Amino acid sequence: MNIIEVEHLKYAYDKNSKPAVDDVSFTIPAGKYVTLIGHNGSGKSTLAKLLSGLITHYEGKISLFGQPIEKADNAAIYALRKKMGFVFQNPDNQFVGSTVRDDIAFGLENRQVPHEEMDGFIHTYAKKVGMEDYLDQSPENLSGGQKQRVAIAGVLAMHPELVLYDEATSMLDPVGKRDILDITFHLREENPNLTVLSITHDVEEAFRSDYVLVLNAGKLVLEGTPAEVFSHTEELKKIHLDAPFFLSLKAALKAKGMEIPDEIDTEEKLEEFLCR
Amino acid sequence: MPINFSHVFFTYNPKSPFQSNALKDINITLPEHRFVALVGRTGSGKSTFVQLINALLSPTDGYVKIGDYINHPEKAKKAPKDLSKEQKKAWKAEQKRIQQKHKSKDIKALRKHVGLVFQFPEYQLFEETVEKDVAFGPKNFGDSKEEALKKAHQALEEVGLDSSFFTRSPFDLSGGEKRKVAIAGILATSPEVLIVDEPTAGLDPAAAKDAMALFQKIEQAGTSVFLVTHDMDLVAQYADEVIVLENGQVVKQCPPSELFGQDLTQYSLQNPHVFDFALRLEKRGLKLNTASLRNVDDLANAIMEAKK
Repeated sequence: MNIIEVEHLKYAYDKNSKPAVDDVSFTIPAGKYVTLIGHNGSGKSTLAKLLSGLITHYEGKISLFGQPIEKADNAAIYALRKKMGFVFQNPDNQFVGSTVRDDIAFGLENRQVPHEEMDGFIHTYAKKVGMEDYLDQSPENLSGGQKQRVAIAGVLAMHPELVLYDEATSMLDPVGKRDILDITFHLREENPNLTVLSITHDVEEAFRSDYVLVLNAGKLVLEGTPAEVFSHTEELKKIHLDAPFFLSLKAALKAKGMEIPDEIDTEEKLEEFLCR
Repeated sequence: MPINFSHVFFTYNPKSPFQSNALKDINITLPEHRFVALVGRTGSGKSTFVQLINALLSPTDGYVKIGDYINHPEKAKKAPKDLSKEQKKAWKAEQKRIQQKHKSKDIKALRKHVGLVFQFPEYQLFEETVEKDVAFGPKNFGDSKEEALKKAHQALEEVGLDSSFFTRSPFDLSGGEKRKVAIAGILATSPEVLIVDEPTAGLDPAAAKDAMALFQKIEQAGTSVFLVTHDMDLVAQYADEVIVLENGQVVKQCPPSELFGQDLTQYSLQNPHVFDFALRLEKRGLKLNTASLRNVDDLANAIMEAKK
């Protein structure tokens, strides 16, 4: 099943301005980790708002879990939202509880999970993101990365089928960033049905994902596996996207005359190849 | 402008259960006309350190000398008990002189020379047009409206915003553009020392590169630049010197190539990508020359050299 289907989606903030999202179509099958990359102003965030239902008037079609949302009534929308979890950019704007425990509990309370079960849930999900020792800490004692981990725990406790990251790591330091990505990849190993759509400008994250969509000036300009997408070096450069570290190094070595076979396609393999 | 920390301590919430010692006995002379990176884990004291340089904070003990300005503790220090009457009198007079300085215009002059760009400075934009926002600084430091606007326009062009931006509302700009306006606001006062706190957080790679290139240009034009950052790739690429803070103390001051390429877990730091890769090759037996390693191209050169 396709978790997200978008057809000819178009949206402009006002009638006279250029569309922020311009005739975009793509599908995201279940169980994939998809990254959507593009520079600031490429339309990424607008697309996120469209998918999350923050913008409701648009041209084209959006289907979530096989259901066209234009035709969905309130009850259907509510049912869809139950299957989706969001993690936003700013860690300070999404911490709603006064402690880590309260924050994870917030969503569960909204779903009327009985109190006896709640504590178990909170522990399980705090542990999944490595925050079980911080349950009684308040947000001001946490780093940005830790706050985002709590946000992820809160989202996961609701058993979503789709998790949408809207630049969830862009305000974090490199260590926090790496933690979030490692946790996300680990969660997917545990639950192969979980679909992740991550809107990001981190090309390293995109390089590790299953499928990459590239947005520029509101249009979808490239899509495919990371290997396919990042082979378009020149096109990416033109729209101000860097190549991931591994590919830049490989290209630089090749330019200096080193012969590297095509099957060397990860950093680890390159490491081994160079030390042979 | 020479900057010198002498036995500087800083304590948040002193004499309360929440007391925390952010800085402990810092003694350091900061290099001039260099691109200096300040690094260290969250809570290591980086932000406290830079706020002492433009006197947003005053030390709990010790002093920071910034050019002619001396940033002393705000509270008068009690005289040691073993002083004679005359000595005590002199001590009190000196303390009084120091206290008055805090209220004087000197502090304003200091802030004109030391510009501090906070993290997420775009949140501080407030005027109705971009040029007014940028002109606020120079006007506040005594320039006429015309002069201030002229400086604002210059600063805006320096950060890459042309005249089409001047009369727009800062709130209609993209995230990267807003940040440029905020930085222009500081540049318009032509500081001798520029401190930037995590300037690339939340920017896309292209905008981050632009911002760093701008700071490099400013440094080359003769301004001392202090960059507070978590991004070691930036440090390797741009900094001439790096200062490592750990637990409120300066634990290292050296060129980046001297710090990187070794195990940095003791400082809770990560190596930049290029050094990390070089380190992994070394563990497998391929030793690289990392003395001038800054970017991927340098790394490729070092690998080619080692493979010869």
